[in-house]
Amino acid sequence: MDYDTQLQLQAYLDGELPERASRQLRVWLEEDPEAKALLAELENTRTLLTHYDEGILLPESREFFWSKIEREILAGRKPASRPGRLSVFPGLRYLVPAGSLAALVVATLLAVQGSGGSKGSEYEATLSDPGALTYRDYASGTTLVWLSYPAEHELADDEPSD
Amino acid sequence: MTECDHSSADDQVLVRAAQKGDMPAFETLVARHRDKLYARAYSMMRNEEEAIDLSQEAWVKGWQRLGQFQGESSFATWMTRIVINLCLDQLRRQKRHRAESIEAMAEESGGGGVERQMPVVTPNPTAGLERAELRQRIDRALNQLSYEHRTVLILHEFEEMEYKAIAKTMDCSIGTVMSRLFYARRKMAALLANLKKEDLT
Amino acid sequence: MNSKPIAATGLAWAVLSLLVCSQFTEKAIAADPGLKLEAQLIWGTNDPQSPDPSHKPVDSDVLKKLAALPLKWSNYFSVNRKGFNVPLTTTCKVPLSEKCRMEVKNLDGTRIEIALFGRGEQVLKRSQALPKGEILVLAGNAPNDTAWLVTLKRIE
Repeated sequence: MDYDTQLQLQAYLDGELPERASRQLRVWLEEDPEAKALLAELENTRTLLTHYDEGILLPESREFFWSKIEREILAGRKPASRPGRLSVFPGLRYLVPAGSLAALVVATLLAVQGSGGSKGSEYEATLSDPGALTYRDYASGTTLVWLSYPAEHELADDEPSD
Repeated sequence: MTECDHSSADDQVLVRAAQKGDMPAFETLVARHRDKLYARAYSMMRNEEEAIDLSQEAWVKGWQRLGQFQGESSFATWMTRIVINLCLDQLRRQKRHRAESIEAMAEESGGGGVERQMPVVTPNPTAGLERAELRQRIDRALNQLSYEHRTVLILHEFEEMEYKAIAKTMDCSIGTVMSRLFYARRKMAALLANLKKEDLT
Repeated sequence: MNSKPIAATGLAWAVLSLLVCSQFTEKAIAADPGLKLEAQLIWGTNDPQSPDPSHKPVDSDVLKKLAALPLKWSNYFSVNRKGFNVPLTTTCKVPLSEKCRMEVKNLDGTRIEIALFGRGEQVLKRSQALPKGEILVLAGNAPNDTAWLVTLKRIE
């Protein structure tokens, strides 16, 4: 089956083929098991994806989420254009216990706001690897690059065994 | 002062009120549709913090543009389009090339894409999986698609957009939409192919 | 026509050139001592001991640096440690474990390019300066709420 035919099959599944072409394709499908199998695979994938994002919930409380929106609206500001950086604290849940998070957020905000040449610490996300978060502590001369892959990643098997 | 209870009003009523400056009405709309908008942003960005930021930005933009909403589509659809465009802008800025660009280049050049030769997969979609487990597997598979492939899949399968509308949204040709969608579907099928109940117990 | 003197002259020039170049090359090599680096694979945990008795706690200078980071683990054990020298514009491959290796390139005597590989697949590539006294830490999650870390520092 050539590629154009495969795409036609997909278009048929998606209701994008004109009626005449659809009729011809239906006839062909009856006779071609390979085409039937491919169509079934495409349909199966669609079935699997159905309802995928039902149950994905915003991980913030109603009040907290709304308060930030309301603040922006009342300020009358246009949403800031994004310079291609991740928001400041991605991946922190991997780094610190939740109890210290608020303190660290405040401390780091102060450090970042106070920077502009001054020593402190800062976070950044590298565009070349969105899975990496860089943290730089100027005082100790330490740069941490945190790779936010799950614990089953290739590098994680180096945990000592019993 | 009398406070209005918006919780039982339908979207049309709330939108009209919000267009007149009724913030609580808009807040009700936010509360009602925030999960859906966040889910869309998350499915595209694959990052929780970014998805939260972008969905908030979408709500602020929605408020600012309320005067332009004429009701041709549902309010939820209109807001979803705003967040999709914000996500696309962000993804383009981030320019997540890496290996994805190699796939994209191979596709654009019309070269023999791997999806054309992949053996057909017949996964058993239900196989006793719980929805949360299935979503996890789909999540992982979606993470392995490039943002172009993932976006086409999302716009078609979740937003039910036609090829032409997707092409306009992604600023590419219909042919590119078709080949990206085909690739994405076949790759997802291959990635999800070994869904077996025993793997997840 | 007598070609022998021409050939001999040519040969002499060639030998002379080689001598001169080798002198410069030797000087160049002598002038570039390369970067002396140490890479360490570390396991981060809140357990007081590593189940592997050969894994000792990291040195105090490394511990101090790690303590300055917003990491939630309090104990760090050295799994493997390698010292190596990277000449200018050269890339060194540094295996740290069966599945993990690092490649370090000396870009200009102060800046390095690091690539980290897990099971043969590159997971990170990064360029930066690494002055003496500073440390680069690459890290990620490991099972059971622990962490793997790869540190790189210059040594005298």
